[in-house]
Amino acid sequence: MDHTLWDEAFLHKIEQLSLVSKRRRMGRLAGERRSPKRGSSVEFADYRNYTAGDDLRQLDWNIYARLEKLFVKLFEEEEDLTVHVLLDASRSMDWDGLTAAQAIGGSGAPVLHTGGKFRYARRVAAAFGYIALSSLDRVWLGAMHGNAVHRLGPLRGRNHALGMLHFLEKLRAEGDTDLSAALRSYLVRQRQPGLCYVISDMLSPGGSLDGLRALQSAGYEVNLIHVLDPAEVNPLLALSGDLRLRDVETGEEEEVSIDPSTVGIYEEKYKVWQQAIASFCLQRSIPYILATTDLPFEDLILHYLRRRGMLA
Amino acid sequence: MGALNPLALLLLALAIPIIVLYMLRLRRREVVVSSRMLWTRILQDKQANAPWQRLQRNLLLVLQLILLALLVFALARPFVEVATAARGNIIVLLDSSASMQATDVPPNRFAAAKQQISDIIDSMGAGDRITLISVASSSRVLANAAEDKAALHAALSNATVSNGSTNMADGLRLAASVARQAQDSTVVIVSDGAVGDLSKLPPVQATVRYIPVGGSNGSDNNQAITALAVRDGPNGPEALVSIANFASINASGILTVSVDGQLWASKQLQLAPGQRSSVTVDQLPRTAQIVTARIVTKDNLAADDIAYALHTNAKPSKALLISDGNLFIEKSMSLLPNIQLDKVKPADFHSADGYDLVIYDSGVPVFPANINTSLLIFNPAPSITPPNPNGEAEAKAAAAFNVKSRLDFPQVGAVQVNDPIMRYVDLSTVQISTARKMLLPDWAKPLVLDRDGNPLIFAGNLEGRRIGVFTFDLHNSTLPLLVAYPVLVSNLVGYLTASQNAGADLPPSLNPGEPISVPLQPDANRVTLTRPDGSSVDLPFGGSQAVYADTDASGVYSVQQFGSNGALGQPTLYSVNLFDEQESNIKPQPTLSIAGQPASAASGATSEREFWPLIITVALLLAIVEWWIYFRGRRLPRLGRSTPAA
Repeated sequence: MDHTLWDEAFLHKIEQLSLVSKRRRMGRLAGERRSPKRGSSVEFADYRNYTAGDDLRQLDWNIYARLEKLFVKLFEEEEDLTVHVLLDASRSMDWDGLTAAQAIGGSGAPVLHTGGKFRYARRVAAAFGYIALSSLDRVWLGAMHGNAVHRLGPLRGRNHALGMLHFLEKLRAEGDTDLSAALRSYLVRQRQPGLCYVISDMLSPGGSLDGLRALQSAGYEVNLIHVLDPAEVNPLLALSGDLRLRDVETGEEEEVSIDPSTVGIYEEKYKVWQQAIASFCLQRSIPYILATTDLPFEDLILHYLRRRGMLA
Repeated sequence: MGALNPLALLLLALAIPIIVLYMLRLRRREVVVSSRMLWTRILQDKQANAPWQRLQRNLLLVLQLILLALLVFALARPFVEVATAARGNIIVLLDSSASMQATDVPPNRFAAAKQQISDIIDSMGAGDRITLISVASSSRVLANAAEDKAALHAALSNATVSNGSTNMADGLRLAASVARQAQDSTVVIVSDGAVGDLSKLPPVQATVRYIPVGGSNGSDNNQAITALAVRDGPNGPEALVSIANFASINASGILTVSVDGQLWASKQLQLAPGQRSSVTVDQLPRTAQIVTARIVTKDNLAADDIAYALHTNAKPSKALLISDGNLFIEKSMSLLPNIQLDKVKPADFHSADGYDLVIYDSGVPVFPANINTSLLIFNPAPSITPPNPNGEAEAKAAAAFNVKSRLDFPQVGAVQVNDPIMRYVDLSTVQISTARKMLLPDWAKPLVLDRDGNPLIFAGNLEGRRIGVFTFDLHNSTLPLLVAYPVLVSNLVGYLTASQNAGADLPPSLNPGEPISVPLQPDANRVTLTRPDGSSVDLPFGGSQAVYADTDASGVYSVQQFGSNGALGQPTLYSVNLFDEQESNIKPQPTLSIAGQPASAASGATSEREFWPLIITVALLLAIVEWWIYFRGRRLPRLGRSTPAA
């Protein structure tokens, strides 16, 4: 086990989070979730007119006795919830401001000492996965390299937690992510839509919003967790002086002198870019949260649990 | 404009390593970022401000290059040509006389003159030397051939203005002797031009420049007391005040006369331009000692607005005439206000006790040896013997009196016109039929000699006693009929009775700076002088007189002699006044003529004035700015930058 990634405190925290979420669900049956599909459970859902070929066992004879019309009783179908945790594993996710600051001889602001985006993203993914496993949900993990997705699943039950952690631990951030392409390729091979957490820095030259749109069209309940390094929000935390900036994914270079004026422009551009993503999500009813790596990941998880009604 | 060390400009080549280092420094460090996406557009935005951005980026380089240029420039020792009074060996004569106290140029002319000289010192070039001489009644060398500007400034600041008159001729002679020591000498006179007549001076072997000091309009506004005398009149002492208006405008003011510090009289004055006026204030108290006259006007020079005069309130001297009757002597003595004359027949004479002066008429033979007073002897009898004939000198003196030969019709020859006794005495028309031929005693000074050098009138001081001798009978000459006779008798009696009326034979007033010489009483062992401001000094003395020279302040000086038994008599008073019309006439003279040659006012000479300290100061400021910019991370306000959109 990589103790820097899964240290004891982290494991303790996700265990706590899963307990917190479980306690709220005591009144319900384990493994049961309401499904939009009509099915054969015992819970009545609706009526509809009889059409030829319907199962006669589903007719409501009491209604027929009263109204002399044939109605079919519809029941809720109960099924397992599928939770997809899609993790951006491109090289841009592996960038962190502290390393960049040290590369140019600086020490970096204290807020940068958080271990980087990829570590943060994996911990968040592990937390979502663990909670889902604890809830007896079906869990799919996906790591997006380039336009391919490295999948693990379906997993069910807490005994798969160790395997999930191993999978995440062995992940390496490599390749340039075309997030849209990766998400589409995931859709092609995945037949079980469900709750979907996309964890990414959204720094994808090809754009990433199309992929989200496709995911949503395919019936996924998409949540976007936008993970950024503090130094990406405020470059002054890590960068200074006259620099030649090299893109970690494309290798392209830009010459920039870091000073308040350039940083001012950068911040303006950053704001426009981030607002575009946020407003896209708002329009599509995609829950969106921006998490810089200095935000404690358990706060993030609690935010989602609360959002999904698992917590008051 | 030029540079004393132009080779230093080669150091500008140091700019090359600076630029190289800067280019090395500008090689960008490479750093990996997560995405170029957001940065790309930034560079596109910055293109619009490229020139300014490039300048801003290179601001430190530009500052460093300017800094280097300034330092190299300073090392090259640049200079500008400034006009200067002179080059080379400069002798500056600073007029320190009373007229330089005039306030027509604030604060006064002397300060203005010092400023002029200060400018000359500042404009000194390399190799220039300045000799600084302060000229008042005497000349004083403040700095001798100095090249150090600081030392010259210090010497200049030590110069003080005096109350005395200008002896510029003396100063010029001193300057000429300094000028002879070098080839390229220039004498610079900084003065208001009230320096008197310099035409009789030998030409100065140097260029002479004159820098006039003084204002232009109304700067000659001065009223002065030109003389103050106090004499005894029939109704008590009278003060005679002479006032002159040297201004070219009407002047009004108030004249006040104080007696011993008490205001006695005041008069309104109205003076036309150039007018002189005499004011007599009579019926002063007989006890008056110090009479002070002061004029209160709005003029530019205060030093000559006050004058002091002394009045001796002597008790009448008692004189004894031993004579069978001499109308000339009796008449002339009765005219003297302070002489109380008694007469005695030679046969009745037995003692001179109680008398200050004993007068022996012609042919009186008796000469008692115990007489201890002043003597006035007319035509001494052959048998007369001088007092106390004990000792070798006395024997010689006695021999002088015993010459029996006779001079017939001696012609008056040498007359000691400079002696106070002979003041205002004109003996050119005197005729003498017969006189005694006598030898001049070594204690006596001749007053009148005949053409063969035989004394006709002489006087002297023999062991504290004063003796005056006429070698002829008044009846044998035309002297009693001349105007000069009463004056001569008055002067002579004044001299003979001076031991009672100390100071009577001194000049009535001293000029500032003129030394006071005090005749010592025989047993004086300490002499104390009190200055007008009340401070006292003990005078060093040797021989028969004590001298005090620091009489620059006008006013009344008091000298007290002390013997072993305390004070000897009353203090002697001396008055010091600026009675110098040349100083009181403060109109600035635009030109000056020396030995017939006009002194040039301007000068074409230039001097190289270096200004590297200024450059170094600017460079230091620049270094501070550069450090500040670097420290602040080059947070210069950027022109034309819009505020970030909210």
